[in-house]
Amino acid sequence: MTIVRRLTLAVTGMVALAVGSAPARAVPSFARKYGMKCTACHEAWPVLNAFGRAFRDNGFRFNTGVDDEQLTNPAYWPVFAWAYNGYQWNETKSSTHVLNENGGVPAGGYFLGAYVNLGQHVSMRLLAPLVIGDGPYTLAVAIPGWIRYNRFFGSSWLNLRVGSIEQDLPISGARDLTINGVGVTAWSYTIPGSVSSYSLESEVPGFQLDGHDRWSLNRYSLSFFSNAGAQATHHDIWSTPSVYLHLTHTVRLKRTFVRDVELGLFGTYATYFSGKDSTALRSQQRYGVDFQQWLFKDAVPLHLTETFYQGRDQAALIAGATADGVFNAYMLQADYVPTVQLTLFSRASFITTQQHAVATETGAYGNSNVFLLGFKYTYQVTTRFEVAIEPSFGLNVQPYQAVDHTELKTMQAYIPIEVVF
Amino acid sequence: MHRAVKSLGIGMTCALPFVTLASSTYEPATTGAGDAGNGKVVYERYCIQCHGEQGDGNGESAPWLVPKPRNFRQGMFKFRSTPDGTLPLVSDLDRTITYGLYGTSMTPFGSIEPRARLDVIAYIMTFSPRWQKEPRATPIVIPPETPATTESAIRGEKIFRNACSTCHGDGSGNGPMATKTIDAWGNPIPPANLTRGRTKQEVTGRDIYRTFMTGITGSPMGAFAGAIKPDDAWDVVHYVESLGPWKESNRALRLAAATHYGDTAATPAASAAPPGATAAGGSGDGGTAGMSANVMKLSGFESTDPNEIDIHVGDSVTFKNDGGGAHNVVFFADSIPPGAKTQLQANMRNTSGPLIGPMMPKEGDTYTVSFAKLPKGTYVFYCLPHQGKGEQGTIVVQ
Repeated sequence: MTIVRRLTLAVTGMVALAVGSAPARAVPSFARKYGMKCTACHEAWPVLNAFGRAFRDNGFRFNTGVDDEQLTNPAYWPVFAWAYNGYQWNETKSSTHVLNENGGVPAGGYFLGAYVNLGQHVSMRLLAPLVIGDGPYTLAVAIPGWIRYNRFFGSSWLNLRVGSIEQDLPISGARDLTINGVGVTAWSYTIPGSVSSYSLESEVPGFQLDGHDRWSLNRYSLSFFSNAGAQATHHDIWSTPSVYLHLTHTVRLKRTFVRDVELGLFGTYATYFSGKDSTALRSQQRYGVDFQQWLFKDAVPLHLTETFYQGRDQAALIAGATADGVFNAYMLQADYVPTVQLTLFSRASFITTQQHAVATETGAYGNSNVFLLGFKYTYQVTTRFEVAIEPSFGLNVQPYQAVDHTELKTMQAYIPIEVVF
Repeated sequence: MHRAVKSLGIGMTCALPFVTLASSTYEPATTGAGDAGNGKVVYERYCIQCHGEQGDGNGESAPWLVPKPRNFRQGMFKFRSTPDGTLPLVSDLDRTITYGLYGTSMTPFGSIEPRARLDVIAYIMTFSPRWQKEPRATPIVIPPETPATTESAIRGEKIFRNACSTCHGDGSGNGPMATKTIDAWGNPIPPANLTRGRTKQEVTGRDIYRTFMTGITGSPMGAFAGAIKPDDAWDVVHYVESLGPWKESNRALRLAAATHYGDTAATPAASAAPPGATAAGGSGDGGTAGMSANVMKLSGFESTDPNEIDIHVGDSVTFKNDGGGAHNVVFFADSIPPGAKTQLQANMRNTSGPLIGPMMPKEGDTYTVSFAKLPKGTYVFYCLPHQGKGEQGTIVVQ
């Protein structure tokens, strides 16, 4: 297999990863249930605004006293559909060679899902992604889901979710503004050579405790999960016990052009096998801060998100390592919403190695600078049936990653059309 | 010349405090609202789906919603801290937006940034000219709560039976009118079930007091301010709080509910005025002062007494609460002579909506309407609280 084919597969794999980790970009069935527009909850779908975050934190309820009676609304069906497809162009080149260039229409994504509330306390998600492959026709259906008990003892501070868990991140990989393969690289970055492909943005099996105050200005999310997922060989989903915590505090400013400011702290202590079985677990740690600002106008804001975190994998997880691998990740995202229908977005991620795990790795090895630029325009066919076009351009610069240890650039342009119903 | 300028200067200096005073006493109804331009975008994002692009309550979701979304173009708002018939304060609208209306599709929008809420309020105010024409109303005064005792709840029960049970029944909203009440927009509006511990906007005792005294504009829930003493109103509040798990309910109130209410069950509804009720007739005219010779009595039966009355242009008709709970007078817009609506509306005082007279909460209250400048013809009216009983009457202007 040539290096070009390997790179092609790698890019395709990145797309598949991004798609696979996007379980719910928008849920039009909620719009039907409550008679609201998608834009009530989404800054630009799938990114939630404060109102949408509070709705999600409440277990997809507004606590109006008629959340259940809304089920009798003839316009309400608890199912939704989401589909996308588009043209994609990729190019990978080093400072001396073009290693790969291709374009075309890759396999899209087709999803059928349901978010269901059962009484006052139980919410659940069922999702069926239909993956249609190229070449020999293949169709795969998987149903990652969760079930959540809302408001233990009547308190909004105690909710429990069990199943396929999405970590509570300042920028959700599952609700990214674009579905191109660049994704949220800062979350999915893994130290070169690490046997674990642990990613903050991947859904993992486990359970999650979360809570919030009335308007979700103060929140916490605490997850206990299995890093490696459910391992059939171990007959135990807890073979790699791990924990994740995110705390956020939002301040509303009264007289400045900065409207809301949110400060967050997050960290994870994940474990993974260093050997053939779970008797030798080693740790992966990610600790960081996030800072979000909403500027100018609440309904059409400029939304800035900055995050910084440090990641560490124990040496035993890295082939040939003589020390722990340590990296720093910094990410700045700017979303500007000039109108309710249009969103301009950009993101810059800088990942730098602080401590090389393998003695022979030096300099900028492992570093990665990723840039993303695009816009999303949403056309409202009806208020519960929307079509969006979201052209984006992504650039990943890896200063030391080419075969001759020169700069490796991966570029991607993607023009998908999304439909949610 | 110099003297004239000096005189003018002295005159202006003297006048300035009065001008300043006059301008400082007038506050437009829009006082405290935000930027309407920003509010338009907020409205488009969060509100347009139900309240409609024109603010007329005919958004895409409106057909499925009960109760129907508010029509902002009429400038009528149900939940206020201000007297019946006046515009609400910005803080009243912000309260509704922030906490929603429990049991309806009006969801709590408190997670929206506060300035955005004030902005959308400013935009909502552009839908009705009332906001530009009328001054900022003065909210009613809510006096300190009287002790929430068993005795207070028992006293409140007697008033409740007299003034509220026609619609609210035993408190669960099962009064004889419960299935028949409609609001000023012709939509069904069942009475609140007070046994659940909270209603649309009422959670605390002060909330209950406020709604009891200011009424719910456009609905059969009349305003009792002026018709009842504050202490008596607190008794009603305590009775309501004894009916269910209200936030401020206490053991003494629950004791009243458990052991005492049966003692007064024999009290005939509307057989007596509420204890301590003043002679003033709420939003109506009050007592018999100024009563015209043409009197039509309302007592909750199918027709008024008399059912029909003949008068002449320029005469007045006095409507009198003759027992049977609260009454009011609403003229059918399509059962009056063509072209009479505007003048009739002008002749009706203290209206709470188009051709909707104020509540006469207790027996003996009156409300007088002048038929000056009105065309000859037949004027048919009904009583909003007793519409389901078919209580209506006819006035023939000759």
